[in-house]
Amino acid sequence: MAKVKNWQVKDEYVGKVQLEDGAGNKTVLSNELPQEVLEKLAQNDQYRFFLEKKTVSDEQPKEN
Amino acid sequence: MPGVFANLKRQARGNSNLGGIARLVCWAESDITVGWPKKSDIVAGEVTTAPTIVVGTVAAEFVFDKDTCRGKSSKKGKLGYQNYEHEIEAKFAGFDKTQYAAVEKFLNQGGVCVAYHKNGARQVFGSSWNPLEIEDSMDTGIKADDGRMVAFKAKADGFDFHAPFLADAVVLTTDSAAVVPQPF
Repeated sequence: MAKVKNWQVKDEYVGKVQLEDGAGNKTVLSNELPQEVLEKLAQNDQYRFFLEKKTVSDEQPKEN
Repeated sequence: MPGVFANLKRQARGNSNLGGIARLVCWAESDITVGWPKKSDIVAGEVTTAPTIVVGTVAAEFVFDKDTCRGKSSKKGKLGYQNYEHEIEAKFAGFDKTQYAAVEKFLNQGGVCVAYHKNGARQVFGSSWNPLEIEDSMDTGIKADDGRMVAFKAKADGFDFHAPFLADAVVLTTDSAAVVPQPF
């Protein structure tokens, strides 16, 4: 089974960091956020510190 | 058609116009690694860029008492020598070791603050290149109903702009555990 590396919020920052604009949009960093959102955040130097790339799961085994 | 001056009107009738500040977040000057905001960052009264802050840090949340926070931006000086002063003040009930530790951080450290109006508008006071100088005091009061409190006042002059608004698109990084409910 192939290992999958995903962006994850570092444990110490889960639920503790909020990104907010002035239009009322708020994102609290957590691992519930879609992978594409975390990946986009990781491209920003200001937010990458709060994230890490982790091996989080194996691919699901195929059913016979 | 007006000449140099533009028409200046009061707000239209029938709209709310609540005074006071609802929320205050601040950085120490040394949390911001690039001069911010500068006059060139301001377009039509709004700062359109986010501060570049030390990685891994977020803005400090200053949760003050109801009706104690004010932001002021004033132009002063004689013609030819005018400049702007930015000022923030707030009061915090209590007088304990946690507050003491937070206040200690203000020693010889300037600040930059974003104040949230009660309609959600955000306004930047101070800048990392000309930070607000913080005066703080801890007062026991004299009798039971006196304000036993921490008082915070931060100001700086010598700006070449009024305290600017922060464009809605600008994203700030804040401490989600410290944010209290807001009216907007």
